[in-house]
Amino acid sequence: MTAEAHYRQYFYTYFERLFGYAFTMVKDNAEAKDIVQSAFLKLWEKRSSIDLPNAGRAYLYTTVYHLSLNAIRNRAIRKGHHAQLADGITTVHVHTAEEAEIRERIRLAIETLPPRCREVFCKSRLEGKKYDAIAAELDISVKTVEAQMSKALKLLRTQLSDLALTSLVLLFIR
Amino acid sequence: MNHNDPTNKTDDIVKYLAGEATPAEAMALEDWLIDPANAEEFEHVYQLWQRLPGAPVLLTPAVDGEWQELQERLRAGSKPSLLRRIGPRMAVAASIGLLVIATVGWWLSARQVAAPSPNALTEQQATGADNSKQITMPDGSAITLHHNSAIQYAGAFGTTHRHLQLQGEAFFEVVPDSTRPFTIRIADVTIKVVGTAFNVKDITPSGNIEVQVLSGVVNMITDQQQISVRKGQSGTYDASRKSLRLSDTVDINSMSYATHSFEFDNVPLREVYASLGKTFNRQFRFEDPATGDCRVTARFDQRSLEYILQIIDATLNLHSSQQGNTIVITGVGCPAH
Repeated sequence: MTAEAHYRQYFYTYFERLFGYAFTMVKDNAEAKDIVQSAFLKLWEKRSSIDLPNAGRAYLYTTVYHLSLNAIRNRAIRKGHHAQLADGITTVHVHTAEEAEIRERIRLAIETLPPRCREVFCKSRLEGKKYDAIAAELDISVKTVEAQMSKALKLLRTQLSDLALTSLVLLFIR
Repeated sequence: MNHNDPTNKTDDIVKYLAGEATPAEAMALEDWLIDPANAEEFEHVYQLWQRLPGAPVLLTPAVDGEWQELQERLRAGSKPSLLRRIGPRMAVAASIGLLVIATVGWWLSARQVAAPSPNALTEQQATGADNSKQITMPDGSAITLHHNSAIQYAGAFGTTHRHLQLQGEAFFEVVPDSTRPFTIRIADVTIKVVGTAFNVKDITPSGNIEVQVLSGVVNMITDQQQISVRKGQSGTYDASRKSLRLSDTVDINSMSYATHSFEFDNVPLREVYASLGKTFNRQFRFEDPATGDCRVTARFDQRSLEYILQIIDATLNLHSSQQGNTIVITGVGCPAH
């Protein structure tokens, strides 16, 4: 295969996965898309110096990783300049009775997490903080943050074990 | 690690979903997902993850479109591009494609200058403060225009295109036709539709624009951004920030003027009647004002006012009687829940 053919194959094989990976970090569809496009542009420039069939995948993931971290850093700087941008628009919505009940159950389940566990979980999920920032803030190791997050999910999963199913059903009947 | 039990992988999955996986970890997780049992385990954790507060909605763009975009970026760059390496014959074909597009663009804009043009927005339908209006468009699509709203479109609507401009608020039920995309322009936002039912609202004080989708998918497009809004979701254009935002809920009652569907979740009767009154153009009066505090949880899909009143009367032990445009409610408080 030529480098061009490999390149195209990489795009079709990895675009969605790389997009998903970038999205876990930047949590924004438009930003994730730009990051993956940029990673592929960089790969094209490097196509003669990189052993595409063997090293292309690792190059793409590493590039997406670094571009995502840069995007998060730049965003933090922008936010510092325009603090008011941080708060979202408030919209009032009417939920179905089941939806309200599920929300309430999830809220209760999060509330009953052990205090440290809940603190770590909320900082990661609701405040969107990176693990290393949470670790520094709470004066614990990144490994501990990781363990607390995992513990939170396991506990929530036990408490809400019937919920994954419920949400699927809701999707179908809507 | 026990390879037979995929639940042992929760640590890695959570780390990945939280956006903390290194490139090596992300690749390892994806390789692990090739096994269907593992993929199922991942799906379970992912479902839970998405249900928890603060979850952003992932909208993966179509790969073909992204590949096209990448080609264009490569072509535009000064560096050696794919196009130049394809060979002279393909390069000629590509430039003919560009030429055709440019010609059509010129032809369209030239036609728009000439008056009266078939694409000029000569047709208009509007509503006043007290009436809404049902409109069937030439292509069969149905539009319910809310109070104080207007649409404008060309006389040729439905022949080569389906484009209209909206002011105010309207509910659309669009007949699918991929050869003639249905587009709506409202302020800075273009809404592109693939057969669907949805509500568009220009929120006057803020200038925000809200699109709520009941079925199908619509795309909201601005100069800078584009999002897809799916069934059960709302898209909001924030006018002050010029940005689009997606939310996972729709407000059924806000569309009642068109759908005659209502959803009440523990809502005081007073507010229930206010919603009904707006849609059916009636006034409500309580003999005993305390009755207005009774709470209602119910859902009505395209029912008549008479039917809805009967159900509420029976549930709360009330009696409603019509006197002209006013409905009088009599009853003795609420049954205890």
